[in-house]
Amino acid sequence: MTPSDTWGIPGPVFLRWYLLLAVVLVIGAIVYRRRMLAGTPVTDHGALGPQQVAYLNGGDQLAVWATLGALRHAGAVGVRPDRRLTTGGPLPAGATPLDQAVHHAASRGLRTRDLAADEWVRRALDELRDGLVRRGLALDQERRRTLRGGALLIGFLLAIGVVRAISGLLNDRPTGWLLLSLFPLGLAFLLLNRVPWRTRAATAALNDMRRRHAWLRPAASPAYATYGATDVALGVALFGTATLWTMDPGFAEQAEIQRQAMGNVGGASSGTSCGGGASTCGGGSSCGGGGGCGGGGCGG
Amino acid sequence: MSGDLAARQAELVAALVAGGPLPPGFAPAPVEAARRALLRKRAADVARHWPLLAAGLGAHWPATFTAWADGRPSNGSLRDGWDLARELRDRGTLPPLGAEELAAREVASRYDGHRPPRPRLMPAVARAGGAVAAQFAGRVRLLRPAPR
Amino acid sequence: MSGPSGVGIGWRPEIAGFVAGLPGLRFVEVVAEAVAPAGPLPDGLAELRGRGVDVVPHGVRLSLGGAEPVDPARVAHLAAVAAALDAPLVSEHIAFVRAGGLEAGHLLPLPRSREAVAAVVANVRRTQAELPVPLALEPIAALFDWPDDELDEADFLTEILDATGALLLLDVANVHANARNRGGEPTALLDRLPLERIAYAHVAGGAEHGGFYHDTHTDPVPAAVLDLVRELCQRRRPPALLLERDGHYPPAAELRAELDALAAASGHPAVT
Repeated sequence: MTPSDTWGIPGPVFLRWYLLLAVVLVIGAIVYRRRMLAGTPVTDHGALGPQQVAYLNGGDQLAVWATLGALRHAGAVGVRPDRRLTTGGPLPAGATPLDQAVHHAASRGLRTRDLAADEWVRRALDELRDGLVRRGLALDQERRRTLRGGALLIGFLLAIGVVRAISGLLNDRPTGWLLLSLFPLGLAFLLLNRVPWRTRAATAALNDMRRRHAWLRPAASPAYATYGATDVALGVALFGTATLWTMDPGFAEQAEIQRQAMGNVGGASSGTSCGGGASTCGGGSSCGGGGGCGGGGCGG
Repeated sequence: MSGDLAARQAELVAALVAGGPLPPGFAPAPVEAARRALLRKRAADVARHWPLLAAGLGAHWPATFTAWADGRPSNGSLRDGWDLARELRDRGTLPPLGAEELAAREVASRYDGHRPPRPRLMPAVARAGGAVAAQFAGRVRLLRPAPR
Repeated sequence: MSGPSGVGIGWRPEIAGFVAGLPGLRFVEVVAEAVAPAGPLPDGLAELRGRGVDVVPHGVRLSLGGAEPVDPARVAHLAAVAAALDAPLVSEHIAFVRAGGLEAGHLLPLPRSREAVAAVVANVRRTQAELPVPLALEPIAALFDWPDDELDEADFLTEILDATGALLLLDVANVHANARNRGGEPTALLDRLPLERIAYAHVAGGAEHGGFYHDTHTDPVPAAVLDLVRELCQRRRPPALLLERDGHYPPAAELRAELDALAAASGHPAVT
């Protein structure tokens, strides 16, 4: 006696239609996703402020850190021994709504970890994101939901395949081909389920800016006093909170600024070689025994 | 003759960086001023390589470094800072920031105190003054900050 | 001669963004030991080269004044850096930085003796033989003298330059510092140096400390040094002058003002 076909549909027939549907869904989702994520290319890089860059690179939290970096550089915020923020001076000219919100939060003695949840800060961040959505650089919630919808359909198809395969196995029917096709479908589901919050245009702009502003890499120990508050914010935006730790370690420690992977801050990996890039010795000093100029009395 | 110059140059360098006696004929005050200037310069160079160690010591950094470095020839800023951080750790006076920086360095490179540090190829965990850092494939992460 | 011209600034990674933003800049200097010639050039230097800005490698650890022969590996490195940067020339100091296996971490003065002249000349010739470009020699600032000087500063330098055919890199701040700390009239030295051999001049800041003037490179350029720049340019204007700053970098406006003051004092066009 031969076991009957699972669900009354012969295996080859099911497999044919299943694969066809899977291919159509996956290709459709990919095409839709590519279109949705393309975004609007940034042509004028000056048009993107550091806070916008920070949001695109690391979302709400990085935008807050970038703002805090600029305010700290300008002397507008400080930190008390109890780790609560405080104001150290007036807001610099040209302050953005986020600057104002963070400064206001500091005047109320918030801790840095509570900044992003503060109502004023929240509102300023939403405003920041909406502007980026309008410019085709960030995705709004609706669009992200739509993209997840495509992944959901594929997940649904995946579930049907899994159920069919299990019943097939229980019915002692051949399921090899079906099982084999479930793997790529599962992979497609996982990949498409991950929806970024920025468009490809934004990613391209970020990469470009990181290259143009390589001198703000914390490993180069940038002279933040020379560069100014906007560049500090841009440093945080592009290269993370290591910028804050490099600029003002005492403040960063006291204010509990998030740590990045500590990497090779300051060029630990350079060993004896005095190579370029991350581990150059500023001012001709020091690698392997000193020489050149620096602290006091140079004569070169 | 050039043997003479070589020996006298060596005497002068020893007097400036290794606690050697002042070679005959030199005016003591200007040489002493140069020696002090050299220590200040070394302190600034090492602070550049060990920013968190220096920041952790704050206003005590110049005096702490100078006291340690006086009479001790430099092995380069990286190793000087490393040796000092280890000594402070052993004395129990390493500030938390310095402990975290030392742990991050120890986990990234192997340093035996005699030869230049070499990057670790294998994953590692290191602790210093209560701070714990881990390294995998060259990426360093602080697992536990030093107690404050 | 196609050497550097105009007002320049010492390129350091810390201020690379500031240097990149100077519109009129035509030359910078980079610490030779900080460049790895085999790898890619540091961020920013390649861009400056692309703009046609001359980059002069400035060695600080060759120890040309050492009694022992210069380390061939260090000479080879300097030559490779010059080639990688397509530099018009390189510069080093008339000084020694190590002896007896110890690093001084400092540029140390030589006795102004015939023996020292011979040692420097031999090392400079060894270096010139390997370099693809001319070498400029920089007299240093020192707080102390050797007890047995046979020559004065001008004769000492002139003998070395004549014997080697090297160019002169005159550090105006060093001239000021030496006169201030070791006595003598700075303009008298200018009168006796072969100013026509100057490839470019250095200008840097310093500060008084414990009764001495220290050429720190981390403080503002004093008015007296700018006055000396004017004195030098009245006698013979160097084709190029370079501001050296190695730390405690001030706000951009102050750094620009120092470059402008240097341009005004020398009569070269402003680069800011």
